[in-house]
Amino acid sequence: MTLHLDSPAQQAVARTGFYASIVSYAVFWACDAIRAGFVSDYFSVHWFLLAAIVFASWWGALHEEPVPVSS
Amino acid sequence: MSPRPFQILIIAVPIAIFGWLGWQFLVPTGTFRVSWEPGERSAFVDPLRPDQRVQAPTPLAQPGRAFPPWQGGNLAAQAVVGDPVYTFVHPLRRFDAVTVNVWFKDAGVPIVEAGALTKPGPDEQYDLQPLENTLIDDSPWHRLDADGLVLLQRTPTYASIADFLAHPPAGSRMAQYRYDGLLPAGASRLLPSLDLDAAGIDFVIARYATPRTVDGWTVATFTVNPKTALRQNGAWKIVLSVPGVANPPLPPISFVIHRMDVTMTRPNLADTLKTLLHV
Repeated sequence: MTLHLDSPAQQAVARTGFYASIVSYAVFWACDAIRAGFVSDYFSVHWFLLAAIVFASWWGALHEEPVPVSS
Repeated sequence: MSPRPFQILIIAVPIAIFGWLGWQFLVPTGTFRVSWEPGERSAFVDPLRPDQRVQAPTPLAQPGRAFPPWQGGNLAAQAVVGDPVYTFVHPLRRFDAVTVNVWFKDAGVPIVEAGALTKPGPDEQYDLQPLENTLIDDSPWHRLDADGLVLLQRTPTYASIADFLAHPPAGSRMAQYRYDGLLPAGASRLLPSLDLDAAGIDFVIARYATPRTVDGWTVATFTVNPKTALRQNGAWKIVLSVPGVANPPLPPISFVIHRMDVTMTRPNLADTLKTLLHV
């Protein structure tokens, strides 16, 4: 079985990943600021930022407009 | 293929992580355990300090016990070459009681003690408790154990510790170690420098429990009282007193630490909720 997602589906996944990562980053960062060590005792909060960058890059790549060819 | 399963998964992962972190923080079972071995990076137990008094962690031939490379690999024993050494234990929240098991090998240090800092400053104080006392453990005298107390008698005189405490001999004939009860005046403190024969001492009373041995390591326990232990930047400073150790080549006195198991306890979630709801 192969997993195939067409471009709109990939965009939906990338968009969800981006928003989920950004919201998670904000929430976990806030939790760690309120209660030091809540997250950072176990892993770095910045992993969510990295995930957001990865999903944003993916999403951005799918948005690329074709370069018009000049005659 | 629909993107929905992937979207659900992406949203579920941080929710699950948050739930797991919340579970860790709430300690719903009431018991939080953390083990630390030399070379291991831990958010809860710092490496032994100062660096000048400890050697680099060394590998232990224990198949299957290796740490992953990012945690230092197979490092699990560390020689202490100066006295004292200390570490910091970082509790993730408030706890009512803390127990620390220390795994070590002691060769030649007569009295090993550990405890938490209770008063800072130039005259800082520690709640030191015995880990091992070979003056007691290796004594050829007659020994009685009861209720965390040890009585050594040069010649068997008392049938029980209760009998000894009820009818104690003259203070000049006894030495004490970490005993917090009342004794006749003149009792000496049991120290490596105390010559029992020359001092005419026939009895030693001590609050002490001989450590157990597990897999060739001595395992001793001490407690940290969160009510009296001082928290500095959220951490308890734990000192390990090993007088007499020195840098090689000055064996045979050596002290090697292998592991620390920290158990922190608080009311479990059900009890906490009952207290909050006044049930």
